[in-house]
Amino acid sequence: MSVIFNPIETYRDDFTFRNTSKAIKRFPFPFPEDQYMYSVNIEPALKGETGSVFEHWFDIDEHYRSEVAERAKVLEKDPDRCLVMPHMELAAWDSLALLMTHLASDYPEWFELHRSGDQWIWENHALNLRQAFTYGDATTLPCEPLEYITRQVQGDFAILDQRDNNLWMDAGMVTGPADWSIKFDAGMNFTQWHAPVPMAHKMGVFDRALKYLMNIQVDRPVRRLNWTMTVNPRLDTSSETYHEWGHERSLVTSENIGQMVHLRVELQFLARLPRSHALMFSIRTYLIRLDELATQPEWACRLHRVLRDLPDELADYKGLSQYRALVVDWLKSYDPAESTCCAE
Amino acid sequence: METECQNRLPSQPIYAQSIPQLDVRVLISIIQDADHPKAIELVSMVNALPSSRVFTNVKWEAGVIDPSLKDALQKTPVGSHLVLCGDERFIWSCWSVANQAGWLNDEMTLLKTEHVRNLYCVHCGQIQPITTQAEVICQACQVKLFVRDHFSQRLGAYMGVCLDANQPYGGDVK
Amino acid sequence: MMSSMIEVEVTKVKQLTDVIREFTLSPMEGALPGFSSGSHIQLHLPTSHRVLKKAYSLLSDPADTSSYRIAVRLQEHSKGGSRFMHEGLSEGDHLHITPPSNLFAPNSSARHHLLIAGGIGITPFLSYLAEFQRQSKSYELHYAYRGGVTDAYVTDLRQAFSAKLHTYDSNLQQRLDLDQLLSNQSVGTHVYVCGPERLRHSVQEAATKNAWSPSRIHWEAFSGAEPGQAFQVELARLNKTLEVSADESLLEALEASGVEIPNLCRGGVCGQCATTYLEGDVDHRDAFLSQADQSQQLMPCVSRGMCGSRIVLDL
Repeated sequence: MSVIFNPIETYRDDFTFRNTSKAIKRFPFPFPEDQYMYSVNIEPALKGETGSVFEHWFDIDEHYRSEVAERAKVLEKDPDRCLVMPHMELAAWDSLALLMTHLASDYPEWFELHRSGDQWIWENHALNLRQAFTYGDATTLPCEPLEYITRQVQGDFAILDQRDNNLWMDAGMVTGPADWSIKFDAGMNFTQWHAPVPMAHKMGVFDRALKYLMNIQVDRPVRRLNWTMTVNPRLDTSSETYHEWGHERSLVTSENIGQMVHLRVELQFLARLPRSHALMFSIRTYLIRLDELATQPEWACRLHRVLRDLPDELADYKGLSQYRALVVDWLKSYDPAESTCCAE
Repeated sequence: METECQNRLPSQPIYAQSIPQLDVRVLISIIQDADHPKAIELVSMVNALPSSRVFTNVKWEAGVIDPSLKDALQKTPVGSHLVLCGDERFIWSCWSVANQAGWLNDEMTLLKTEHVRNLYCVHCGQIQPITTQAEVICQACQVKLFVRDHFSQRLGAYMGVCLDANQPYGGDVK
Repeated sequence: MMSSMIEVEVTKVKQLTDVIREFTLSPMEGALPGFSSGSHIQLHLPTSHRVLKKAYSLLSDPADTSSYRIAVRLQEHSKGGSRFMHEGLSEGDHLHITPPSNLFAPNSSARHHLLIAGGIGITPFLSYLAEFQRQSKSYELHYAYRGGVTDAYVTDLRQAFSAKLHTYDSNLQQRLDLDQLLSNQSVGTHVYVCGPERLRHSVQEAATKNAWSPSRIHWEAFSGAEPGQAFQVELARLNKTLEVSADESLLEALEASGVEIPNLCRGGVCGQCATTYLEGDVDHRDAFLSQADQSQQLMPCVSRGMCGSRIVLDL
């Protein structure tokens, strides 16, 4: 089944990003229960249903061309959002190989890879690109290998070096993060870059997750879903640009909620890079505005309960506090338990 | 943004409360200001040790220190220990050179003297010195920054992030 | 975690010394999974009475995934593994192997890599050398062996890496002075040791004596790769008894008998499969339950009954 790309949409300024009904149906709704709390919700990334976001390792969807264009805009202004420390060169090539081989076999109508020893030819029909290069020789590519390939893939990428019983964020391409900064966090280990997350350290979540992630084997990737909310369909909600987008949280009103407030879900996928023993951590972001989400009433009902009962500390961390009450109120009508009963 | 946290963040640096007793092959001490009480105490202690080298009143700028000192840091045998004594800017500037040379965190003791530290503006990348303030205006981009406890060893700096996104710039902050 | 097995053909067997044989394992089709320096695979050896699982380091160049190479030393008191490899395996035979995993990767922050091999312990370092050369890393290799017996690859190494190679032949009374070697390394050096247990101990001793930080010392830790011993499990409420064999997890045994247990990670961290037990001597291997919890619960994805024992589950 072939992916059809939407005409270019924007994730800034006039925010023309929209989901088709097909995209809404395959949206990875993240809540298995009516309550949300941290857990080590990591599972083997087995092949999912045809057409679902879990079908392939790297999901390409209708927003592909738009997201690639958005990444180019971020990089034009801030080229350091892609960063590869010198000892990560092998891992960068490893990443390129992994992405190219999977994209070419999963989406043969859009991507082709021809290899003859270290002479490779990459064709990206979606972007009209053709590149012949020598694998391992960065001078034969227009830019550094991790940057070259991740400019052509949806989602952010952190490449983690494994040493000293920890994982170190020593390379990455991060142009659409949920309120963190690759430029600041680069070089940190797993515990350090999760430092700002409240509560979870005491719960031992990170220690357990770290052990698990360090054991990931070649060809046995794992995944988890994470979520937050974003005002407007803005992909680049980085710390770097917080002073430009943070005020939008105070623009939410009960009239514009359905248009403006988005559930933001990250499909996090971790795979062992075979040659370098580094870990690829890909963060594939899906946005859905509440109007779109409410076309699936059971989702709206569940989101209502999750947001209503979310601990304040978590709501603060996720940046929801300013408009949470408005959203809970708006979602109330989708919750049968609330609308059929008037007693408190 | 998260609220102020009572406990230490896992990314925050740990400074030694006192000078540890060390059983090592070579002890190197790098001292910013020899007249500081902590430095005086350190020198009197390490001078009694057999293989001790002390560098005092070291000249430095961000990430750049005296070439002879850099050389000494690279040629020290494994099994040595390094004490960095100075304000936080000094310590992390030396740390960066030592780290490049291959020193590990468990081979270094950090003795903080003064509350002078670096702040990284996450919006423009500028690093500027601050003391104990919780709010500061970025000298380069004028965004009014909240000083977080989140710390990067690589940058040797704390993270500064826009305090009030509804009023990002300037204002009456000292 | 269960790993999917790969079928390979033994395409070449080469006798390197009196006691060391090299095997080339080729895929039935296409290429084998990529691997990193220091990786190992597990071979499933169909010996006459049971399937033995043995881990061996990959010694080939990680750039080449057309085949894997391993080398096996015949152990005098072999219970079957190395004897089978030497006497029961020939070119053209088929075997099942696990995909590569790595518990002995080079440390990327090292400024200098000091490799110390004893005899057959040379194998993981062979996969290091190719990568080190390509990346122009600073390294030196110290190789101790008994000439003519455990000196596999020494000729090849002399040709390719002579400037970095130091050899010690016990037949010629050449001795590797570890104290001297480790007292003389500049900061930024990491040491890696592979070989007999006593070599590892000597390296650790010399390192401790010279005040090395433990984070600079690396050795291959195969522990955990071996599944365990067989034991019996009784399901109290279902009134059922199961035998859990050495090469399956308790969770797998439960699933095979039709008992569904919620689970996610299958690696002892998510807590989903925690199950209450009523009796038994449990070998807890999870990283999830607190010590207090472990007196009542176990995680069947990794934890087991002690060897030959019987545990009773509240199922």
